Amino acid sequence: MFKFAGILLLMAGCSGLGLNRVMEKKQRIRELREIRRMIIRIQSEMAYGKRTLPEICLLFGQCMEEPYRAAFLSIYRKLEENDGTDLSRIWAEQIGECMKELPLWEEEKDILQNIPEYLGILDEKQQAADIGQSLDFLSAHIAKAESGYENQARVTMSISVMAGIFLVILLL
Amino acid sequence: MQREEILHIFPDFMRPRWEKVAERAGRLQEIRLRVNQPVTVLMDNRERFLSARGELTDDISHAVCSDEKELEAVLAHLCHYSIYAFADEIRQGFMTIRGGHRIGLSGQVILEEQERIRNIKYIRYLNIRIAHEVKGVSDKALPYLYRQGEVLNTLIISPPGCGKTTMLRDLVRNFSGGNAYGKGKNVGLVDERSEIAGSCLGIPQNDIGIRTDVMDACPKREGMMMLIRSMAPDILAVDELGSTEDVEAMHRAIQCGCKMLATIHGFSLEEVGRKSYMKEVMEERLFDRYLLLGKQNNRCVVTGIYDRERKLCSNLQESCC
Repeated sequence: MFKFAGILLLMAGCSGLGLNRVMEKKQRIRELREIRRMIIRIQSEMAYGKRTLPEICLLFGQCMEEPYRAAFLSIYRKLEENDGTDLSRIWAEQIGECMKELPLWEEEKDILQNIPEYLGILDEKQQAADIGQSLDFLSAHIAKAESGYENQARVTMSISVMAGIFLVILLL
Repeated sequence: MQREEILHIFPDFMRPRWEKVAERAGRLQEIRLRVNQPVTVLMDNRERFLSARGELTDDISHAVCSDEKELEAVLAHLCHYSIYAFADEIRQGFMTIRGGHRIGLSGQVILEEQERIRNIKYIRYLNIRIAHEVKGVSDKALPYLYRQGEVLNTLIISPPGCGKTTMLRDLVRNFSGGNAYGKGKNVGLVDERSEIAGSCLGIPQNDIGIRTDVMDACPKREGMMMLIRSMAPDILAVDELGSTEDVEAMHRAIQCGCKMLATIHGFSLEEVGRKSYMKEVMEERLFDRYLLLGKQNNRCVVTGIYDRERKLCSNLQESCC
């Protein structure tokens, strides 16, 4: 009876680990798409809405999902407080904090985190174009992650189940 | 005015230097920042230099100079780090910030075809003009600007720096809110240079009354017509008539049944009458009242209110800013 329970738990644990890895990959794709969507929205708000960055933060704070919602609202509030702190510092703190737990690579996190570095261009269309420089890079990452996802998920799940079976045999 | 309003103009690393000046915000008129030149402050009509310790001094050797990094930081801070959003204002050479304060900008102009200004780069000169809203300056003039509860077409004539815009703003507030001489009216305000309402991101920073609609940063001619079509104002208010087009638009507004409240640069009725674009207006007696402002003993005062026949109704000698 105990043996049977142990086998079940081992198998469930290994499969769970594999599933977790697969879910992480899926979430990475979702987050990358979300970042791309945000950048495109920032571009259009800059070029056509002529909104300032604090206004865009407020807008995102109202329409985005967590964890971005809280981060953008926090940036907006801090800028509204106007204690003189530089935007890039506030932005890096808040966006860095909200992306800390996300299953993204550092270079992918940097895309959103480094947006203030692109600011300072007088022409709104040029400014929007500059912000969008990273879109190609992002799209390439999304395409790569999507194309490999199905196979990787299958391989990961298979390996984790096999690892479970291997452990069961080893421990019996 | 709050000291915070002055401090909020500057990014955090510059604020300690401005603490002492900000304490006297009510008397502050102008701050000028020029690249590699001493920072000057105009307070109580007296120009002084800012020292590194934040004190005002007459000794230029103690004055602190602004460098280009500081100027860029101030500009970025004033633009909420979104300079592209202020491109139109920058192109015109000024922008209005929260509190209605006006920032004059100067630098290297980028021209496009037909010598039109595309933008200004290397902004290295900032003139921060501190707005002072003075409520109640028009109160004493009000009885002369109404007839049987109806507002009269009024032209404010004043030399530069005598409170023309301050008077216009207060009249707009009074006409819009209503007062002892007439009920509140819908006022359409064409604020071409964002000086009257002092709108920042579309929100008026000055009290312009509860029934006032603002067409901000819009040329007078277009703004007047747009307001008539869209907002049906009882009164149209514009600052600084300066061209035949402005006067034509004003004519059309009056034909549409609007009352006009306008200002113009000038020292006297005669001088205004000699301006080519105003000749016809004066001959047709389009305005029922002329409010003349001037300076007496270094004070801005209403020097006289004249009727349409240009006869003196009152010489209030009332302070107007």
